[in-house]
This record gives sequence, C-alpha cells and structure tokens, in this order.
Amino acid sequence: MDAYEKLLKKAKSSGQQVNNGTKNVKRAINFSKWKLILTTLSIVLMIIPTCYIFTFMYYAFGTKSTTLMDVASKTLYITEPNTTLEEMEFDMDFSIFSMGLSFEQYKQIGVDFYPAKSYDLTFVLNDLVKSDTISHVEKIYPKNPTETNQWIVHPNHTVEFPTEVEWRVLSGLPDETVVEAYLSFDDLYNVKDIVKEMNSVDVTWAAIYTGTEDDMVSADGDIVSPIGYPVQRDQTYWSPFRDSTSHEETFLMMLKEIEPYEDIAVKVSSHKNLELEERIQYIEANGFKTYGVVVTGPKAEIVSLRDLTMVRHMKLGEVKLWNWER
Amino acid sequence: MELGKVKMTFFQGLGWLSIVLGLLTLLFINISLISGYQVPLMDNFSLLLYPAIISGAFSSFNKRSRSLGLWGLGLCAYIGLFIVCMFFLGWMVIPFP
Repeated sequence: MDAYEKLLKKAKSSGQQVNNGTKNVKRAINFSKWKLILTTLSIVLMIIPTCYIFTFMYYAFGTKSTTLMDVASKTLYITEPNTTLEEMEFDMDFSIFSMGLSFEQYKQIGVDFYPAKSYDLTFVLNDLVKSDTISHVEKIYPKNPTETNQWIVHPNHTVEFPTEVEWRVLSGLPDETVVEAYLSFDDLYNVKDIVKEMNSVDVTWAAIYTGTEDDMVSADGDIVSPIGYPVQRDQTYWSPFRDSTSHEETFLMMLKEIEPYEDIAVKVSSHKNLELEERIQYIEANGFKTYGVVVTGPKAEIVSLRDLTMVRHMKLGEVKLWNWER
Repeated sequence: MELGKVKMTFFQGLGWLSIVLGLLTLLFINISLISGYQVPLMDNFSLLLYPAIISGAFSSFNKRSRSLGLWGLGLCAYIGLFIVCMFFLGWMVIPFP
C-alpha cells in the first residue's frame, strides 16, 4: 500500500467517526426533546387529579360535605313552614374545589306528601355561590320577606292579605278537598295546647316566638321571618326530628348547630336574616311559645277552626283532592 | 456488542412504553373527571395500568433504562394513590350507599 492509499483510508475512517458523532448528538437531542415533552405532559395531566384529591380532602377533613348538607337541610326544616326532605333524594356532585347539592323538598297536604321545591346548591369550598330553586306549588310563600308580607304573624302585627277573603275562598272549595292553611293566633300559646285544640286536623309546623316577631325586626334593625319546627312525629330516617323526645329541644339544638354557619343558612333559606344568636338567647330565657301554625286536613275541618277564638288570621295554602284516609 | 445494544433498546422501549401507558391512564382519568362521567376506575384503567407497572418494573432492572422505568412506575404509583384516595375520601364525603 502506498502512502496515497494510506492517507485515503485514514481520511475515510475519520469521516465515519464524524458521522457517528453527529448521529449520537441527534439521538441525544431527540431523547431530551421527548423527555421534556413527556415530563410536561405528566405534570399537566396530574393537575386535575391532584385538585380532586385536595377537594375531597377538604370536604372530608375541612368543612365536611355532610356538615354543609346538614346545615342546608336543617335550615329548611326551621325556616320553611310545613316542609320535609327525603334522604335518598339528595344528590351530591363534586368538581374542582366545589360541591353541588341537589334535593327535593316536600309538603304535607292532607295525609300525602307532594313535591314543593327543587333545590340546586353550588358550594365553592364552604361558600354557597349559587342557589337555584324551582317551586312546584301554586301558592308561593313571599320570596322577598318584608315586615308585613308574612303569612303567619304575631298578635301585635298586621297582615297584608285580607283574612275574610281567604275564609270565603276556603268555604267555596269543594268538600272533597284537603287543604293547607297558615293560622295566626291572638296570643302566644303552648304548641301542645294547640295540637289538643285542633285534634281534627294535622298541625304540621309551629312558628316559635323569638322576641323579634312583634314587628319582624331584630334588635339590629334587620328584617326577620318566622322560624319554627315540625310538630308531628317524623320517622323519616333523614329527619333531625326522628326519635326526638322533644321537638322543642331538637329545634333549639338545631338553631345552635346552624349558628356557626349562619351565612350559609341565610343564603339557603328564603329569609333575609336569621339573627340566630339573639333568637337563641330569647328562647333559652323565655321558652317556647307559638303565635301561629300550619295545619292541613279536610276543608270542612279547616273551616271549623274559624270558630276558635284564638284564630286571628288564616292564609290558604295548597289545595289537593281528597286523600284524608285514616 | 450488538447484543448489548439490542438489550438496551429493549429495556429502553419498555421504559417508554411504561411512561406512555401511565400517561394514557392519566389522560383517561382526566377525561372522566372533566366530563363528569362516573367511570368505575379500577375496571377500565387496570388494562393500561398493569402493563405499565410490569414494563416499568422490567425497565428499571437495566441501569441505562432505569430512569425511564422509575418514571413509569412513579406515574403508576401516583394513579394508585389517586384511586385509593378517591375511594376512601369518597366514602367519607358521600354519606349515601
């Protein structure tokens, strides 16, 4: 081999080495590129599941989902006259840092329970940001409460609706109907006495005097609405009044349980203010007296309540066909 | 020399496979969470998750593909943690059967 061939061979082999080097660099760049892409993808895809884990942890260990549900349901029991909730109708839905709660509310008319409202609440963490309600009843309780537009009023207070007209409408209904009526009394009474006096109908809910109902304004000057509790025995598994020996004590306990979450309770209810601290103090000092109740029963039996001297005002609620089978 | 190269490529391939399967599982979890469908997690994702764990474990035996294997196994561990957390926390936050 002459010197020329040696030189040629050397040049060729060095060229191959350069090619291999470029190939290796290209491969390394590709490897790094894919590594970077997949690392970014890994991080991006972990964001939503991690947020869900934190959301569930918040509703399990922070403000519990069950607490929010309890506050919502208990608030409705004490602020919405003659209503009840069904446990299995509760629907919970979680998304990132928020919880949706949907449920149905029922009303007793006669002996049957009818859907009254559908609630759709959205909490962002523990803040109620959306509260949609759809009413299924014909007579809708005032949505924007004022001092005078209540259906159940204190003896010292006046009503906006003409009671005479309400009695006449009730008298005009067929006898084969059952009705719901909101009665206001001429004085404060014990709930037990009222139930005894009105034994021909079902007393479903009693409004309790809390020291603010004389003019429906709290000590701070805020407008309040009636609060009370279901009177009849409630064996629904979900009900806070299930197996309750004293509905009055359960009512007071519920008020105390709701108090730390008053902001949420106000948003859930149709009331403008609840003023729970002031009202709890009054009840603890003065006991439980009612100034009005919600009753349901056959039309004729409700008409006969007009003869009771204690009944001052009557507002007719829902009317349904006869179902009073006992 | 050539056998060593094939072996390395095989293990690296398993590592990449583990990562891709892990990411695919994560993608499906994201889709189910965003769309809001209640997909039973274990039933559907196990088809992707088990091969991802196996390939990740094999890949981590080789020194040069270990980082890829561990990455794939890390993704699988995260998914496992997510499933366990969602199961137990879900049981705590939803009081209904």
